[in-house]
Amino acid sequence: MSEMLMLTSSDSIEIYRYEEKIRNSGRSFNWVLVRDTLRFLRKSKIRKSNLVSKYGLKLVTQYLNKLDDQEGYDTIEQVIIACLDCGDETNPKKLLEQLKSKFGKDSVRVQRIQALCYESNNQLAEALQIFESILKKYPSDALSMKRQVAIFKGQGNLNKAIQVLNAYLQIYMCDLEAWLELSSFHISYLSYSTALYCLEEVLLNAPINFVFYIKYAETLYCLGGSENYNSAIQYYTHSLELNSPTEMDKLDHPPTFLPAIYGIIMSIYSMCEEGHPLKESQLKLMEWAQNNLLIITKKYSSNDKLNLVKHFIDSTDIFNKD
Amino acid sequence: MKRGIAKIFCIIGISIFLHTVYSALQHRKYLRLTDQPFEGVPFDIVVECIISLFLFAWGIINSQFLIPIKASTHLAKKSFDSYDYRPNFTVFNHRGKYLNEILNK
Repeated sequence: MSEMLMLTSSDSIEIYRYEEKIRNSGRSFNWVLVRDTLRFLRKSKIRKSNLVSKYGLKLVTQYLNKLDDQEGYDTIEQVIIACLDCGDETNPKKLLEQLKSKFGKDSVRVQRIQALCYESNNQLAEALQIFESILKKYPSDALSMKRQVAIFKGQGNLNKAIQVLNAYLQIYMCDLEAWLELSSFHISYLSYSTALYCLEEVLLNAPINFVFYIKYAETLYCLGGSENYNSAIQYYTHSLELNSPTEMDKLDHPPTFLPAIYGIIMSIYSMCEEGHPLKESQLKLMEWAQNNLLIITKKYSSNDKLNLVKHFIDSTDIFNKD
Repeated sequence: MKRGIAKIFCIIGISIFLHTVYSALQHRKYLRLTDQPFEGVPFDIVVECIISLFLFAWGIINSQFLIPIKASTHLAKKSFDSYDYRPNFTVFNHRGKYLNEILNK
């Protein structure tokens, strides 16, 4: 149950339930349950490599004929990647042979998986070569270009990765994932203003997604300065507007807007620290944020956490200080 | 109070509408019996029908609490971390290998 409290969304609660069920099924292998779990993981983009490699491997080696034809090969791909993620090298090779015999060596998707195997084996030159040969044949193959970026990232060669990613983004300007990746590169170089530009592109691509507003605001907050704090507050509140806390009682999962509340408290506090005069509305916002933070923590978590949150609120309190 | 009135208006609207249907049928029957050609529904029935439409529409809107439709509710169900997971850019030189050994013990 304590693990349950850490989960913040209905997606992660669901996957937690699946995991419990699988672990409780004991020695008998419930292949329908595992298939549904893998399907859910593919859909919801949650990374659970350990789970997938452990149970999915059994599914694709023993129960493959029971799966749908199309789904079966999707599942194999998923399991291969999960196994590679867990550092397993023998099983992916076997599965890859299976894929090769089905689709032939020239299939781009199979070649890509082959390159992934090389990558996890640290044979980066071979992997790069495969991607280059794919790109020579199909110059618009977006996935291979992205993998090239990932290889450079894995090497730690961020400069080269940024260079390649920029070239990629000039062709595929509306790729949200790539913009996010570029922003994370820039953030690791601490060049927040460039990262902000990337996140702006992300915002333009997904204007109703509250998460990206929070990301943008966090980067603004990192830049510092009272002007940036001010606009960070605006972005945080806009994210609250999209993911509204007004119907909190009706939610079937813990609320997901806590980062915005923490962000509001921190930015107003930092503004106050800088000696910037606060508006009446901002004071009200601060009070609201503190109250809601307490209410939510009381409702969803244990006493230890409540104490931590109380300390946090005390240390960032602007009301009693002046 | 307002919701109660609105409900009554709903019922009145529906019954007027049923009445228009009935009178339109009646009209056609009358035409058939008197051997006249059917050229359209009489004006008073049309007006009655429109009135019933407005009554019913007003009633149904006011007889319940309306909930705002939001485009972003489905996004709130996803975990914050799932937006940070970019499957096309995963790298393999991480702690997964060692964590897996511990987890599978």
